[in-house]
Order: sequence, then structure tokens, then C-alpha cells
Amino acid sequence: MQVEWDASREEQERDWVQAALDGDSESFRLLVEAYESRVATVVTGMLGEGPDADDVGQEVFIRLHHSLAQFRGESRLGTWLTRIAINLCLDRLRARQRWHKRFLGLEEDELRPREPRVDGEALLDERERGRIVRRAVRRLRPSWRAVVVLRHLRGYSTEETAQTLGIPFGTVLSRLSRALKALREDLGPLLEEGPTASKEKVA
Amino acid sequence: MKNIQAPDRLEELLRASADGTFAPGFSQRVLSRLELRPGRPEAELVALWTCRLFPRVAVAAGLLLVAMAAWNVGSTAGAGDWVDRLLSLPAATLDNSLALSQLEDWS
Repeated sequence: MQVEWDASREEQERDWVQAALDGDSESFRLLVEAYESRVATVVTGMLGEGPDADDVGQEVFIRLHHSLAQFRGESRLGTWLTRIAINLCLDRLRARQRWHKRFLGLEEDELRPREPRVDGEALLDERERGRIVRRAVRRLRPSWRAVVVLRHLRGYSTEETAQTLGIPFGTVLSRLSRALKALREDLGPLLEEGPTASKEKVA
Repeated sequence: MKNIQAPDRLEELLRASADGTFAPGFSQRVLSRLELRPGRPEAELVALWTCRLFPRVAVAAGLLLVAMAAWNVGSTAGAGDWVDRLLSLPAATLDNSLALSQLEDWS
């Protein structure tokens, strides 16, 4: 069933691509809408919400528009978009870092206020929890962040993550392990919350 | 005990934190930007020229000017030898005229 759905989706995409190449902007809009969520997950995971993320997101689709011809065949559009999104985010983070160093003589991380330690009782809802987790992810160094975003936010396998980032499988594993350790330290009390942890504590 | 559960809980939290949205009207903003850049190759060439090439060309031109100025100073220094030689002429002429006047006196 999944295979059938994927096949029909790919066929649909090919039609949109062809129509967009013929100048149909409505088909291109449908392509953007189909992949907006995937790109947004990567971009906001890497850069946080806001105009910077929106700008990079738009740039991803502008590049898609300029490279449409290469997706007539069996090129995987989603993988390509994710790769472009992650590379543009890393470029943007490098540019930010250069700017902070050049003009302020500081690393970007030094400017970001540290959040107070998470207090389990103060957590109100999923939204608030998600915000805290996303901020913790953004405190990771960019190369670790890219791995966490692809592996856990996008749900890629380790192999797919390695291919997308163009790094060896083992590097993905080591970056992931360091990133998760840093996140566990940062989000300590938040991790003790929740039904699974409570059950474990009782046991 | 809690540490055994921590990775799973963390992965759960990470998955739940994924935010797959841009501000509303995202696709429209993309289309608007594309309309602003219809002739991509030309627009990109202009962007490439103004952002990347022009500063480099300007720096190269500046360096060339400095090099030319330095060369001119060098040339002037070379010409300086000529000037020295020219300046030494009147002295020689003076010596000659002295010698002539002495000859006249002797005569």
C-alpha cells in the first residue's frame, strides 16, 4: 500500500514538475506546499523560527525552481530539498558566526542568554516543552545539530543522515552520541517527567 | 534507573518538538520572490558581479594603482641619477670657467 502511495505521489510530483517547467506557477505552488513542512522542520530546527528561517526556506524552493529540469527522471525531490536546506542552514550559521566574531569579537553562543535550568513543575503543555527542546537543540554546535535534526526531527536513518550530510556513517554516530549527551545534560529535569520515567521510578 | 529511560524520553521529546511550519503564506512569498527574479541567469550574474566580483576587482585595481605609484617613484629615483648628473654640469662648467680665467691671468 505504502509502495503504491509512493508511486502515485512520485507520478503526481513528476506532473507538477513538468507543468512548472512549462511555466505553470500553480503547479510549482503545489510542489512548495507538498514539501513546505519537510523543509520547515529542517530549517527551523537548525536556525529557529523567524525571518532568517523563512528566508532560507524560500531560498531552498527558489533553487528548486532553478533546478527543476533535473527532476524529470527518478531523482528524489525530497532528499534533494533536505540536502539543500541543511547546506543553506550551515552556510547561514557560518555567516552568522563570522559576523559575530568580526564585529563583536564573540562566538554567537556567548551572546545567547542561557536559559534557567528546566523546572519540571513549571512546564505547562506540549508547546512549551517543544519550545524548550528546540532551544536546547539550537545550543548544540552546528555539525551536531544537523545530525540531530535529520536523525530525530526528520526521522532519517543513520545511513540516510550520513548520505545527506556527505559524512561517514561512524561520524554520524559519534556526533549523535555527543549531541544526545549534551541534550540530556541540558534538559535533565524535563527527561525525568512523563509516564515512562514515572513508571520506572516506581519500579 | 531514570538514566535507562532518558534516551527514549529524549528521542520522544525531540520528535514531538519538530516544527514543520513557516509563517502563513509561505508558498506565496516564494512565488513572489521568483517573480522578482524571472531572468535568473542575468539576475544571478548581476548579484555575482555586485556581491563577489566587484569588491575583488576593486581591490585588484587598488593594488594595481599602488604598484604603479611605487613603480613611478622608482622611476623618479632612476631619473634622480640624471638630475644628479645634470646638477653636476654647472659645477664642471664652473671649474672650466675658473680654469679659463686662470689661464687668462697667466697669460
